[in-house]
Amino acid sequence: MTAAPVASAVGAKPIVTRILPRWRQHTGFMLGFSVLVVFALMAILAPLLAPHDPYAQDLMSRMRPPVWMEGGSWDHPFGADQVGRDYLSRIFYGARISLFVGLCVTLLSCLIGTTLGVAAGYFGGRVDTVISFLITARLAIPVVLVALAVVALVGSSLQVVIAVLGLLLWDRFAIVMRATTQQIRSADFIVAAKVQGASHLQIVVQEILPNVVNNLLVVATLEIAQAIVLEAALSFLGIGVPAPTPSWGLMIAEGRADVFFDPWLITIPGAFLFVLVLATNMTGDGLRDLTAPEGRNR
Amino acid sequence: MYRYILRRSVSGLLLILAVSLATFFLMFAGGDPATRMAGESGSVADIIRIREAYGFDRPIILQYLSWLGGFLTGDLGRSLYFDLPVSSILVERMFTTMRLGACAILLAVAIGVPLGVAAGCHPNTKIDRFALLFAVVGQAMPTFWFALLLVIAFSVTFPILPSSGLDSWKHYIMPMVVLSYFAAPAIMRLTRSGMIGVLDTDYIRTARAMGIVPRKVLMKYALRNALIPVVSLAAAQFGYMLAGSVVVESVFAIHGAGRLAWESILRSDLPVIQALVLCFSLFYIVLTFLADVVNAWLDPRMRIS
Amino acid sequence: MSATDTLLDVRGLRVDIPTPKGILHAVRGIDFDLKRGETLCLVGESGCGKSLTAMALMGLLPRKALRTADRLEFQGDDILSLPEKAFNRLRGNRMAMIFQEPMTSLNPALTIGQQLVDVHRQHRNVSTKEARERALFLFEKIGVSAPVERLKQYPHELSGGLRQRMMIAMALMCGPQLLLADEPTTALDVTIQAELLRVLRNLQEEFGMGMILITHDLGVVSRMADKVAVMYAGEIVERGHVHQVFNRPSHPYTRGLLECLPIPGRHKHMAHLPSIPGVVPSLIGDLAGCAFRQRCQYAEERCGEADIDWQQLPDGQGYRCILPVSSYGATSEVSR
Repeated sequence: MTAAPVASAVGAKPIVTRILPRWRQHTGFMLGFSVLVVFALMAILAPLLAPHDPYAQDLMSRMRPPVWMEGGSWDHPFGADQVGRDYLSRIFYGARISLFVGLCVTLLSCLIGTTLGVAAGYFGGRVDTVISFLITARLAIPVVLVALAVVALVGSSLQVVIAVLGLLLWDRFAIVMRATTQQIRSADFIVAAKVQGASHLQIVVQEILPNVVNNLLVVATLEIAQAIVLEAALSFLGIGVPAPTPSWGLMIAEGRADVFFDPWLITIPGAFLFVLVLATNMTGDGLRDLTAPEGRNR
Repeated sequence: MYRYILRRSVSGLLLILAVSLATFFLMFAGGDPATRMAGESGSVADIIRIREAYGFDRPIILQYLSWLGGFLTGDLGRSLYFDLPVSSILVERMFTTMRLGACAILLAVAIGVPLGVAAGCHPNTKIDRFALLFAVVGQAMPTFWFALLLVIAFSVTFPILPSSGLDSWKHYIMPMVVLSYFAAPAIMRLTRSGMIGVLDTDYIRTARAMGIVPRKVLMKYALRNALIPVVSLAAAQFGYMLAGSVVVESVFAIHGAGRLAWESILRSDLPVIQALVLCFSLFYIVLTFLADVVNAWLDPRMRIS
Repeated sequence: MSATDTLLDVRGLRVDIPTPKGILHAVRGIDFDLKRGETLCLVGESGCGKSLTAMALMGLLPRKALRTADRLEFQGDDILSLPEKAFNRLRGNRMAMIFQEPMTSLNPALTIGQQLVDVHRQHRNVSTKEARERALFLFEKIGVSAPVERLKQYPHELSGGLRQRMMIAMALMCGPQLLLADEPTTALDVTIQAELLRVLRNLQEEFGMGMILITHDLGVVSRMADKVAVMYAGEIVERGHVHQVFNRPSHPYTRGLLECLPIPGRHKHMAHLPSIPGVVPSLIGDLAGCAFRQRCQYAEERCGEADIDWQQLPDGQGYRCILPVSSYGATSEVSR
């Protein structure tokens, strides 16, 4: 994806007042956001919701199929895995990992990308040339491969995964923030602030950031989805979150060996991953539509 | 035009330099490479011997320059695991990955562009909604899960397609579908929004006012302008797809560059990893360069600016 | 005059656009006709429906807009119910249009030559070479310097004035009988405006085309028009020969427009040009009575009661007003 369409930043109202009257009419946003809320609750309330300890092994219930299949029982609604851990509990705790990684990575990459993007757009000239070059160089580097390599070299842990992905995924923030800042750089209110002798930092914090926050939110939402998928992919390849942490990607990897007889080991965590990413993307797309100027529904 | 290409080549070379620098320092991400190579059982003497043999005791700039010099002359170093020149392992694997990637990107364009054109010409109709659904689902589908779903469907439940290897055309179907479904949604969306934008322009109104038949307005007057951004995107997607082949190749057990990368990472075979990262970056840079050249041909305004 | 002299016969043309707030009646049943070799100027403020009228004649309305008419005849043929395919054979061929925005109206990805040749070959069975010769012939008529080079150039390499000349050439490639020009010079410098208007006038006389010129500039009208139709809120409020309308404006709106026209020496002692106060009423839904009455200094109660009938004078002038300005003895003498 290239840069998200940039909403008219100049004089944009705060995002909530712009969205509230219209958000009910946007089915995609409503649907996505509701599902997202459900997943967030699932993650937060995992200790209360989970019927079992996600780490507790029970050899008696090894490979117990989910309740809707032959041999399943309500004791393990989604069945139990190769070492008898309750699958439903692991799914709940997996939501924690996914959302936590998604949020932390996005926070880190947002910080890096926004700083670079705003600096490039605000100062222009040589600063812009250097930062644009940095962005292009970053785009040329294969994310999955480098992330895999670095995580493997440094040693895999949740913190390392977050740090590596955060350091790699700032490109879209930088691109969008650069374009948005460029658009409003020469706006009257910025010029006015300059004339009044405001410092660069004051102008950026007080005048520019409030006007780019809408776009920032849209990019952040879409970036969360990307981070979630990448964490799952790294874990799937065995170089992400280390076992026995209940990560959905790791669960799918562990289920691969049984793909011929128990495909549900793969379909269940994958379905949750898919729905979470789908909901996040729909929320992001919806936010973009809703914060765009009236009458522009692309 | 030639000046534009020249200027673009210079920035491309600078980019290669920057990426090679980043790739080189990848070697030091896990601490001292000599200690890592010596392994857990390595003694201090081993470490010192390795350090001298690989030249890790030289100033870092010299190490970088000799590595880069080697790369430019086709010497990609020596694999620690195979104890063979990296280039001898890499070429064939790269070829496999590129062949699969090229098939997949062609399929993605063949699906994404017509679907985007159809959706862009008839916004808010059934075809538009179908295209949007196609894109939204595709963009949310993790490639490895989609690949496994296909295996479950077409190798396990209805065993009609082979699940591993790349021996016959049948082997290509599932990896191609997975890779192209990864790239097609973005291509579709950009084609669609480009089409909607272009169809709204004054020059399309002019063409219609001059009685140019609708099919020609679409194919010659609108599509050409709408596809300009799509060319760049498709090139970038092709680059990402090659780099993303690590996932698909590991699911379908394809002996390509992606699988080699994964295996080398597991074995800490640093020279191979470095060579692969740099190769994938190079492909990306060359591809985007070619896309810019194509665009300069499609859009005469670009040749000047 | 025989029927074949009539190029265009329009009766009761309406354009309706559905909006979330209701149906917008952008053009509300207008009548006019145009003879061979004649220039009709459609005058009015922006949003009065003059551009939509032209687009309706060309069959180029936005997809949502609905065009209806009691009669819409071009050279004696009914074009109201003409299928889209057949209409497409008229456009660019027997009727052509040039637009206001020369900077964006030409395709940026194709050379001028390609675009001109495409139009000619779309409608005539000619070779590329013959089409190029036709383009060069027109370039000479229009006064384009370095004509052979122009064919190889892209639009972005040309100035605004030159681009508009290219648009004119494109429109004339097939020798149309009717030329619609929507504010063709508004976006250009004043000196180029005058030059282009002269070119249009000459070409129109030489080829004997009928022309509908859309403008908000009465200065342009006085130089170009044979006949004038003044539009307000989707209706024609006054129509007639240019000297009739200019010398004896009968509708208060026409008179207001003429008073706003800057004429050297006339506004010497005024600080600024006069303007008509008030705003145009919403075009959504029905308008009872006269649409101009809120801004009209002569308005009476009965102006808002019933629809205003068209007053046709024997000499061809007509207007839609129950209190023509002249009946107040306030006839203004505006010199051309």
